[in-house]
Amino acid sequence: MRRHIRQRIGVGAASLMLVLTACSGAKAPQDAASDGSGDSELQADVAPGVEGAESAAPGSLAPGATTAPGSAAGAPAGSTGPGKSGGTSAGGSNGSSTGGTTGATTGGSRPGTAPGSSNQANLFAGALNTRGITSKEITICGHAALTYGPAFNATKDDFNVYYSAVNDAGGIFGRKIEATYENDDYKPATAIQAAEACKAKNPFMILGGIGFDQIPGVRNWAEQNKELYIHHIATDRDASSKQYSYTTQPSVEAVGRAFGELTVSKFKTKKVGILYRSSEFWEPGFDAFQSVAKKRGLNVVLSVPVTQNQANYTQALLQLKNAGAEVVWGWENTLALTQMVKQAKAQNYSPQWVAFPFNLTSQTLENDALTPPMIGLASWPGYSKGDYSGTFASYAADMKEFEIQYAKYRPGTDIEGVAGDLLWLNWVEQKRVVEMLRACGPQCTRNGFVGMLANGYRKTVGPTCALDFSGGRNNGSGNLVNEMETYRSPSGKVNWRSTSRCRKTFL
Amino acid sequence: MSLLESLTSGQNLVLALVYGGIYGLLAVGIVLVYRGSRVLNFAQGEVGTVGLFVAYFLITKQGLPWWVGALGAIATAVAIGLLFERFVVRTMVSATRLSVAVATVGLLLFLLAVEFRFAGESPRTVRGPIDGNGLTLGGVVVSPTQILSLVVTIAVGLGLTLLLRKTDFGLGVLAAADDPTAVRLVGVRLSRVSAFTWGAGAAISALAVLLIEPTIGVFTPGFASELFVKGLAAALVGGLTSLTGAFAGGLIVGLVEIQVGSLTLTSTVPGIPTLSIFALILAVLLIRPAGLFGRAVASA
Repeated sequence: MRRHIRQRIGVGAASLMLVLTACSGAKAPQDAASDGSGDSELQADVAPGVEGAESAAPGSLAPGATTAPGSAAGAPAGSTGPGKSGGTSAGGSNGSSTGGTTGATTGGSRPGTAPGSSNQANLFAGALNTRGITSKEITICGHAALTYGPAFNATKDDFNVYYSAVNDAGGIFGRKIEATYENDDYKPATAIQAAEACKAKNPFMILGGIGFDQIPGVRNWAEQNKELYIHHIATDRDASSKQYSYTTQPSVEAVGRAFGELTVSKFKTKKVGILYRSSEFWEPGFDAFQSVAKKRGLNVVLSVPVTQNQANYTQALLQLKNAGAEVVWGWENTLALTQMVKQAKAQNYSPQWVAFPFNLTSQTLENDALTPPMIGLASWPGYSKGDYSGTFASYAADMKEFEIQYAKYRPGTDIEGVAGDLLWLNWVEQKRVVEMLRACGPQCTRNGFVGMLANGYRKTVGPTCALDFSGGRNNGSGNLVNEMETYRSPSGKVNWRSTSRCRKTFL
Repeated sequence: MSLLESLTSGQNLVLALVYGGIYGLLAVGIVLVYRGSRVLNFAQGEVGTVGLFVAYFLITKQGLPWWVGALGAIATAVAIGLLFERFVVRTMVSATRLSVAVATVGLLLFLLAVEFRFAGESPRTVRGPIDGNGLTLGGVVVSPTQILSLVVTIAVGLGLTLLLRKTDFGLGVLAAADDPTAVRLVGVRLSRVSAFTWGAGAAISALAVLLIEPTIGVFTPGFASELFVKGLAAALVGGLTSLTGAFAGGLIVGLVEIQVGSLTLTSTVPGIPTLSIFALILAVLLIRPAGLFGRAVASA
């Protein structure tokens, strides 16, 4: 999603040296179903005695939720959630409601245990334990590909609408969320610089936005710098040893496996082709897909690696066409995928596309995204402004709340356009983060927050799928994903909609 | 696919011709500026991309005819070229050509920043000038726009060649690059020559990008920067001083890229076709530094 320009410049710079030299001589768990009870995430919590440095409160932005066209993938896990907040959350949320569907805290192992209990982690010493949290504020900083914000007619402020609503409703135990963002430009090296810039703000935690490529580096950095890091989709590789990083998302490997299962379940008798990013952070997903395909006897006729910003895929597409591929899995970012589909159409090649679902792709492709309808999966639920029918009906209240709050806080934001689903996935993930902070309790500290997660925090906050850290730091999502397809929405836009929700497997 | 199969594949040959034509068209603009000023314009592609955004606005958003959008794109690109020439190139008249080339990198970065600021990364589409299904050659669907781009490349190359060789003004352009003092002494206005070079180069860039975009399908900021590298490769291989060489260089680069791409299609080592292009450049520069069709020039 691409990564684009800067790398292009990088290529240009490399060639520049070459050329100048030359010239100088003469270049889901099914547990969910929002009840729509109206428990509100926006209502203020009463902060019992939270004053001073001891208080702590995490905050935060949805991992993954940020911008990113051209970017790849993933995002918040989604699912519905019945229930009310369950019992064990210390200080829990509850709330009033503005239509949202807050799920139940299903006990997990001591979710929301307040600091001071035996569930506290021991990662942050002294003042670091309460850094980023005061009686009035929780400081959060996220790194994200802000470079691409204008692509969606979205700005940094557009990503803080949920927090604004929570803050105006009283915050979290009286604490306002102060969320800021640093641009990682969708590049690994810049992401570390962005994380450094975040660290300078003394945040409670750092959040990592969408980008398979940036997160592993920042994850290493977070470990070395002892920074609490909640990130978006990334490879599992080397993740298990990280004590400071958590994710609410499925891993690259889990997503690849899910795509494999989805393809097997739907196209077992078809010839399948693959276009996948040749990159150490993408290939684990490809390998996981292949593993499922091999085990289940899927007929993969050709797999073609592509490079970042390749732009021209015609040769690869013609080979897939020649090989008779009827289904093509595009394991690439939004921009590349859009180019692939366009170029395939130009060659009169219309396979069944399986890919990450972003409205940016479908709205750009328009009819080309419907002939045939593309299918995909993601950890977030689909969004199509103003359409509350079909699977949208199960979380229509959340969608309406989202639309109401954007109309209130950011009336100029085009949530019907390409920004809509990205802001939506940001919104639903922020809901989840806010619930985590509430569950941490009024006396929350960084050790308390980490301890809560490490002890298997579980909660379903609709409309996202259940969050469950009992499987480990890197498996908060429980690998639950939503199956989606493109369709023409009532507004006339070609968008993605969920066809099944919060699936752990497709087999 | 074996080497023999790859070399004789009609599909590969057609793809090489299509993509070679694209690279050739970009190379023509690079060569024109180089011939007129002895400067490599690293913003050559991006000047066209800015024009493409204008075309997008006029054609896709406003629904105006393609030619109106094309005129808008070309006019925008020419304006950028002329402004850069007037306020940067001309003020660097006594600077080394290398310094001016570095200034074009500044222009490239500036234009990218402008595109990001005002347009963002969202992919956009601009339809081609000619609708229709095109021809199927060797299993490849060659669109009318791709055919047109080949014709335009040849026409522009030939037209410029005639202009530069057969007219007093053209000779002045060539002479201005070789010996500006002498040209000035015979009464040719160097400012006009310089403005023509940069303005025409920008116009060709816009035209090239307009004709290339339908092949790629969608564009974003920086769209032509990567293609520019291949256009530059074509210009270097063909010879930076030869417009004919630019076209031939484009075909050679396209052929190498497609053939290597075919042979290494499923290789897990990424970027081999691109590496092969750099290897081609190195080989040509080592064996014939002026390029296959170029002539040696004195360095500034």
